[in-house]
Parts: sequence; C-alpha cells; structure tokens
Amino acid sequence: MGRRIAGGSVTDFSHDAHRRFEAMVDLVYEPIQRYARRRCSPDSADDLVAEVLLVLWRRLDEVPTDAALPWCYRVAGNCLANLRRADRRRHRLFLKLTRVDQRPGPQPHEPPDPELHDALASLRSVDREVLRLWAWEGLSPAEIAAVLETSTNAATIRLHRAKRRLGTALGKVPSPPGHMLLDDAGEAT
Amino acid sequence: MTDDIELRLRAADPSPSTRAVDDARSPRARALMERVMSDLRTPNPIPLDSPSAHARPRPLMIGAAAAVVIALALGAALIKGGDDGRSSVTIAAPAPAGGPVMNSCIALTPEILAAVDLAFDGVVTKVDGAEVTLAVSKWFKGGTSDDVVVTQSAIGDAPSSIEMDSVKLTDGGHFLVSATGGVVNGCGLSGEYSDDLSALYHQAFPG
Repeated sequence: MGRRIAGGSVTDFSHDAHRRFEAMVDLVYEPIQRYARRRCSPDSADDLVAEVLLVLWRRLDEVPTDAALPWCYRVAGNCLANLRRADRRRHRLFLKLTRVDQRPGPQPHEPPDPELHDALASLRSVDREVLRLWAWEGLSPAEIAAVLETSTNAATIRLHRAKRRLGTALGKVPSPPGHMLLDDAGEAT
Repeated sequence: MTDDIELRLRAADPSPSTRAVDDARSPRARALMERVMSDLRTPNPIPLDSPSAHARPRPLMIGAAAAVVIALALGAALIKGGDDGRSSVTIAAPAPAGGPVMNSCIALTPEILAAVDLAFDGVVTKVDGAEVTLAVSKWFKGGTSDDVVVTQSAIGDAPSSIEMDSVKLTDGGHFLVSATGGVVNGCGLSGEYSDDLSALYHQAFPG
C-alpha cells in the first residue's frame, strides 16, 4: 500500500487512511460489540466484530461520515446473515455425523424475560430487528432507516407496527372486536 | 403501552450499557485493528491504469494473452429460484475443443470479477448424476439461498463427471463460483478454492 498515483500526482494516503480508520473504530467499536453480543454467542460476536472492522477498512471511502454507525450496523447485519448461513451448514453436517447419538445437548440459558422472549420470537424477523435497533441500539427512526436502507417515514411506520405487534403478542393489546391487525402488505396477521 | 414495551425490551437487553465491553483503545482492540490494517487489500480501489495496480496480490493468469476476457460460457444456463428457497444454476456441457468460446482469457482483476451477477463460496455436498449441490457458506453477490444446484446438460455422450472449466466438482470439494447471465463463468472466474482466488473474491466484493 503506501502510495496512490492518480492524475500524475503522487499522494501518500496510507497515513490518512490509518488515521481515519482509527477514528472510525473509536466511534463504532463499542456499539458494534454490543450489537454482536445481543445477537450471537460470545465466540461468534468476536468474529462478527472482526468482520465488520475488515469491511470498514476495505470500504473506508464509502463510509458516510455523518452516518458511520448505521452504515456499520448494516454491514454487521449482512455479515451476521453470512455467519448464520455457515452455522446452519455446520449444524447440518454435525447432525449428519451424529445421527446415531441423539442425546440432547446442554440447554441454553433461560432468557431474563421468557414471555418477552417468546413474544419477540413470534414476530417476523424484520419486526424483531426494528425493535432491537430502537430499544437496544437506541436508534431514532431516521437512523433505523439508514440501517435498513429505507425512508425515515417507512422506518417510522415499521417501528410503529412492530411495537403494536409485540404488544399484541404480549397479550396486552387485544384487537377490538371485529378488527384484525394487518401487516405491511395489508394482509391479516 | 409503548413506554412499557420500551422499558421491558431495555430490561432484557443482553448487553446493557452497565455491562462493560472492550474499549477501542484496549490492547485487544488495538491488536484487532493492526490485523485488519495489515490486510493486503487497500482501503481504496486503485485505478486500473495506475502503475501501482501491478503491486496488488498477484492476479490469476489463465490461458493465453488476449485482448478480451471471455466469460467462458459453458453453455446455455438458467438460474431459478425453487419453491424450497434454493436457487439452481443449470449449465450445458463444455464447448468442444476448438469451438468459438475457446481460451483467450486475460489476467483477472477484481473489477472484472465484480461485474458478475452472482458469486459465492460453497462446498459440494452432493453429486447426483449431472446434478451437483453446493452448500453456500458465503454469498458475495446475487443470492441468499443456502444451497445452489449446478446441473450439467449432457451433450452427445453423457459426461461422467461435472466439470467447470476443467475443474471437477467433486463431492466435498470447496469452490468459489461466479455466474453471469445465468452462465457459470470460466477463465478463472470460478474454480477450486485457493488463497489467491479467495483474495480476488474478497477484493471484488469487499462487503
């Protein structure tokens, strides 16, 4: 690396790139760690953080300076989908190799709020993610929109509907008689 | 109701702010940053006509020198999504020797690879006659399914093996595959996994 030659001039960009990257890491390292730990096991969380930083480094010029964190959350979401896909493949292979031995493995930890956990699990993944980004990452609708690559208005509506569906799933907001909840496509849920 | 939901969600946060995580200046974070910044790929694409472009990780030289890259069309192909969420890639048998799509590949660059429609990293999990199933461990571009099925149509004598630009898709084999217009690309754009080819894929698809 070290030097780029463009338009006949020679510019040393290595130092600038390192400084910019370090400044970005200062900004996103802690929230990306939390994002990862909220969604995967400790080992996978470390892998996810490393993947996000690698993408951040390789695409440094594409990172919007005024929305670096939402950009990183979006990258993390994509990396997480790839990690989960690889995990499913490994799990299938594991099942194939251990088909004879069907003893149950260790049980995962009990969630702190099982009712909430079950209610969240019953939602569509996009609703779950909107709620997490809002409540756990503390993002505003505009920031959620940047993560999901949609408009602020659409993110606001998604968040509103996700809250309503979670409320319904928790049994706190029964639909009025004769009413039914509709999803984004206008279908009954 | 909303306030209650917000409070309840926050109370269930698996990584609340009261629980410490690594600081960006911690030795662990610094070590990770150093590893990332030592990555061979530059953070910015270097123009193709730049002399420093030749200092990249060595490109894969495939075939004789020629003016154009021919994405070696192994035959008419179809990419389709199945009901079970799988996508399949159907390819015909390789063109006969001396045919119009023979040879003529140039050195690969990330920019050339980045222009393909789909690209993935996969392992062959099943070879069933002319149909080869690959479990996708990473999508670089153009897909989301867990598996991709590559089917070779028999031309003349049915081939006894599936070949991809002379690379045999054997059970358990690890491959990097790209396709354009529904056709699996040859000329080194697809092939058995190697560090060089993997570096090229990561350079072409940094996200």
